[in-house]
Amino acid sequence: MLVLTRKIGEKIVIGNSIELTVLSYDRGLVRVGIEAPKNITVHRKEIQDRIIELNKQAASTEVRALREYLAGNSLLGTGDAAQSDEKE
Amino acid sequence: MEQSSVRVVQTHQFGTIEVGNEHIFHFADGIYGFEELREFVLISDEQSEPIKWLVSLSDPSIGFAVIDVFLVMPSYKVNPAMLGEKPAILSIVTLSRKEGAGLSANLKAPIILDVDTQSGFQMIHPSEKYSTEHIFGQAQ
Repeated sequence: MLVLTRKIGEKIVIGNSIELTVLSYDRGLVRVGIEAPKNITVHRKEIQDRIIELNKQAASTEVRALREYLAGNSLLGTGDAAQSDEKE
Repeated sequence: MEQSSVRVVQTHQFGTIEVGNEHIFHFADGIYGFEELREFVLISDEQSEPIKWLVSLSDPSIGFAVIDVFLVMPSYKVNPAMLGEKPAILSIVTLSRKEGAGLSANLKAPIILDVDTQSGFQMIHPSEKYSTEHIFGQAQ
């Protein structure tokens, strides 16, 4: 791992198209600004870890278990429920 | 020329199926956690409609239950620049093993298919408002 020390407002360049700016530091929280081309995805590592974990769980979903669940539970009305969620 | 060729695949959960090349989706980067899996087929199963199954051809023991994201959230939005000519946006569904719990859809990381180019990828949606575990279809 490369370790660089930066002051507030200073930047780090990755490749020739990604720039990180240290914006602020306050009580253990660091705010970082990221400028990157649109085709580079940027997200918090925990989210990617969670997605990998969920994908691993989902990959072994049993067809039979899901059929049984659907036989006993209607998915109708799902859309309305989802819309009211979003109004919150 | 290759269009009409059919592959016979022994799947874990659907037995032996025949897959025409035109039904295969190519994932250049795989799926998060399964980066080595590059070819998937979308299977419709009458008994689990409207949920479909995205099954790996390289490892047919791997299959994801997926649902059209708009059935879960009609107002769902993705930057159109991420989509091809004929897109399908699918959300991976997880069935919780906990008692009384239902289905959840991963709205944060949808599978984007392009039917025209038969390609697909899993994106991480930049919006904070979409959950990795959006509960839907709860027991009534």
